[in-house]
Amino acid sequence: SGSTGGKQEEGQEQSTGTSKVIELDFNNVFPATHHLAANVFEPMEEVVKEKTDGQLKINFHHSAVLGSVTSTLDDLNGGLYDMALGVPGYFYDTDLFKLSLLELPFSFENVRDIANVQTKFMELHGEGVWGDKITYSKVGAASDPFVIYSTKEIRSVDDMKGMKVAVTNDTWNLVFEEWGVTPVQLDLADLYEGLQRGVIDAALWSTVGGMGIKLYEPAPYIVDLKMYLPISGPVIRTEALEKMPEDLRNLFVEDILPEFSEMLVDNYEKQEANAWKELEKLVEGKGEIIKLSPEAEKEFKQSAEETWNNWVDQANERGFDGEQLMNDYKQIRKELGIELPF
Amino acid sequence: MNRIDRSITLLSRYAKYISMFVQAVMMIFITISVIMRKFNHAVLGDYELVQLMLVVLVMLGLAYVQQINGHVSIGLIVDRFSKKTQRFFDGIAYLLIFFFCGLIGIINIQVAIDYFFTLRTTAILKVQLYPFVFLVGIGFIFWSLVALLNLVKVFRPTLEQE
Amino acid sequence: MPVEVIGFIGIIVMFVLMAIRVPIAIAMMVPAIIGIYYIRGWDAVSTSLHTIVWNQTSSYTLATIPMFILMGQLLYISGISSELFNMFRVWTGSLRGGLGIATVGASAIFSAASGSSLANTGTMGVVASKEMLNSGYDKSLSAGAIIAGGTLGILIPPSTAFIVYGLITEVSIGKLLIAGIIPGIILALLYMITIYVSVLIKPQFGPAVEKTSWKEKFSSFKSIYSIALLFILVIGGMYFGLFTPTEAAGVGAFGALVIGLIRRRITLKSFITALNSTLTTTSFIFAIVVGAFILSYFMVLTKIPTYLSDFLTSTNLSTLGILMLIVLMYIILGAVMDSLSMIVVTLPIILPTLVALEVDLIWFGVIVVLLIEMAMITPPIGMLCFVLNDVAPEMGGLNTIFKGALRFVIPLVIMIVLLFIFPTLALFLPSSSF
Ligand code: NA
Ligand code: NA
Repeated sequence: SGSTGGKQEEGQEQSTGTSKVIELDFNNVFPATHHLAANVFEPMEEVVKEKTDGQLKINFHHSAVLGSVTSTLDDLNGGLYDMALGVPGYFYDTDLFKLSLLELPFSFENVRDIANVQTKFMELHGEGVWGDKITYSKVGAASDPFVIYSTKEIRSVDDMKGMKVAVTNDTWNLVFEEWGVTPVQLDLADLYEGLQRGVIDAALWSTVGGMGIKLYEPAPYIVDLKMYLPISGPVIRTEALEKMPEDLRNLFVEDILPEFSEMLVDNYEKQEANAWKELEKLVEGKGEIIKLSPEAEKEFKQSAEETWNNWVDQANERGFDGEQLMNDYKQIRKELGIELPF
Repeated sequence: MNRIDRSITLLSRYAKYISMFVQAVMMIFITISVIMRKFNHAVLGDYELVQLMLVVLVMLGLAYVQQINGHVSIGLIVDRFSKKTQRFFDGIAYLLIFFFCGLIGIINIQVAIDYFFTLRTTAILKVQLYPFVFLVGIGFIFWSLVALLNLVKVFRPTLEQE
Repeated sequence: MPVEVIGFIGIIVMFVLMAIRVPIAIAMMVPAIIGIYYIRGWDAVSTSLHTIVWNQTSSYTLATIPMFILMGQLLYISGISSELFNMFRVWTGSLRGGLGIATVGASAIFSAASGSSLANTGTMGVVASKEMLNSGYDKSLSAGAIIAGGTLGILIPPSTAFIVYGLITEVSIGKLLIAGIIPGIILALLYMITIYVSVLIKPQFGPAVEKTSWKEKFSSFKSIYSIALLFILVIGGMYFGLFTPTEAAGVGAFGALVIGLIRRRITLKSFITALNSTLTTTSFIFAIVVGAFILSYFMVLTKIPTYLSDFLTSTNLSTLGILMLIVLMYIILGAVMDSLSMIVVTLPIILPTLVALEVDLIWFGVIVVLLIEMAMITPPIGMLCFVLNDVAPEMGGLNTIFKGALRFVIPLVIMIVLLFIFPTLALFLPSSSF
């Protein structure tokens, strides 16, 4: 086997026949049953094998066995593993805060738009946001839409008054204030029980993610907010890249990583279509998939305006040029023909 | 030696009292936040505070548990040996604890310093993380030092009687 | 050297260190840290020693451990757990082995308020050990009864084990918790039978104590209003959505404090004692948890878990055969690993196999919890035995405790077999309640 007794700092090398296979460990924070495993990671293994003539192999480890999603940044910097899906939202206390701009409420109405805006935005402002030890995919990616899984019917902002709603971060604080909603942070483990027993009345959660943990059972009213959020595509330790021969490295950065992102976007698009159909069946007779009326939709969106304005101040406070970032962002949207929510 | 012994013992006792206090606070805090939420005054971030409390609670107890020899070990074999042989094996254990817990301690102090400059915070309440990571470092270093003290006593058994 | 070989050497080193009385937490860390350095270098060591320690000690789910233990301590100092034990004692004490049966019964009731087997053992351990030893019970049988009762803590809801399993498998945690009820009751009965049979074989192990009058028997119910109150608080609070199963630990501890104060049994001094013993138990448990997760990361690097699962899926066995192999694997792993890290490391690997075989994941969850229980009582790493040794030194040390605990592996295996034959024992309640 490859080792000469010294420590191997990179993906372990293993000799198969005459050529050496470079192995990369990928930390998947989702369970092995998650749709990404079957629809993206497994095919990706094949793609990589084909494109590199078997010189490169990605080992996907599921259920965060190599490290928690909240420590991805530190773990990658320290080389606990080589690759992961970057989730910037856990690291807004770093330069990744810039990306929170794309996460402002009601920014996007479909997966493609986000991916395209993200690609352009990263071209302008992506340099160094992940730190100098991490290389990110040049192509943006996105996740399935966020919806409100609710125990009661919601047709307007008014219906939400007095509800307790589970959230994962504080982006929605101001919006919730306008809605008269109490934001609640719960352990993922407590979400289902929380909805079932009425600790909370609703959860602002991803469609597919919520389906995975069966939130539709206790909360069968699913409000389509047309609210899509970005996720970062795959990221890789720069050191792991540098250990590759130059042609392989170029192939990886120029071809494999972007294709990985594409597959993510594709998958989420397909998943979303399926998810709506499936949810429709699952809540039949128990709840409803609620499409908002144009007036209600406008009202929901309007409530986010203050959050948008507030972002510039927050960015400035953190030492970024908030106006510049916001202007560039709006310019990109304009160029791509994506309207602002209000 | 005796002075060092006494100060380490004293420090790990203070650490223990803080840890016990945090334990009581955690219990009351969870209850209060449950009640507040019932009346729609949920404090977003109560969850984060419990997590931080757990860090303090655990870290400040590690050294004390070493002091009372409370870290679990299996004596199935060594218990049957002579006192002298037992002391030898205990010496190995103390040396390992001293070295590896010291290592974990120093690494976490370095991370704490790093977090101090990079201003890493919790996600919602924006609580600075460095003091807590620093506590992780301190917790393990105390543990390491108590083991060092035990190690010295292995070689100078008379100290134990003092 | 191939990484798998490094992994095996690491495991051997761990055992050698354990054998020479190195604390378990350290015995797991030492080969793991050296192994991580060898496979991935210094940066990975320094990062993992920060992020793994941090992730485990700042885990909201794990915060239930100190809270449930504190609740148990407070119930102990307010005399509630002894009254609970006493209620069972007056009914069964006159039987041979009756105190052991009482211990299991009291533990089963206690489990309905506590979500942690560690807390269960810690609390009932203090109460029941004194009673049994004073009545001339055999030390190892007494220890075994307490530990067997303790295991029920994670099978009868609430349960931290089901919460962790549900998180990894994305199965409804609510259904999992309900699935544990019937097997929990059956297992408690099996434990009682085990005690009874042990005493039939060796009568001197559990002499009968004084007969009690019917009047005494019925008046014993009066004393349990406090624990009933706590159940109403904990179970009712969860049922009516006042708090979540995770929060129940903290609220339960607070409730125990209030009940103890009302009964004027808790003083500042005894409260501090309770905090102190919770602290020592919590600290050594977390030291082991941290050690176990560092070891887990090392194990994943060595690919040993992957080989294991590849082996499982490559066998040409039937579903039943593969499931039995998996159970066997867990019994072996459970003997040597901490139960929590065992589940976290291996479950993600075998999960796809289970899904492919269309195994009911709720049913399997109950099996896994039974296997965790087994892992918690078998040497060399048996957390419940450690806890009992901590709270009841008069039991005569770990050797005696492990010896006593081992006989309760039999009812656990019987329970697993029962579930294989009658899956509905686990699935009936969850499928009918939704
Ligand atoms: Na329980
Ligand atoms: Na075990």
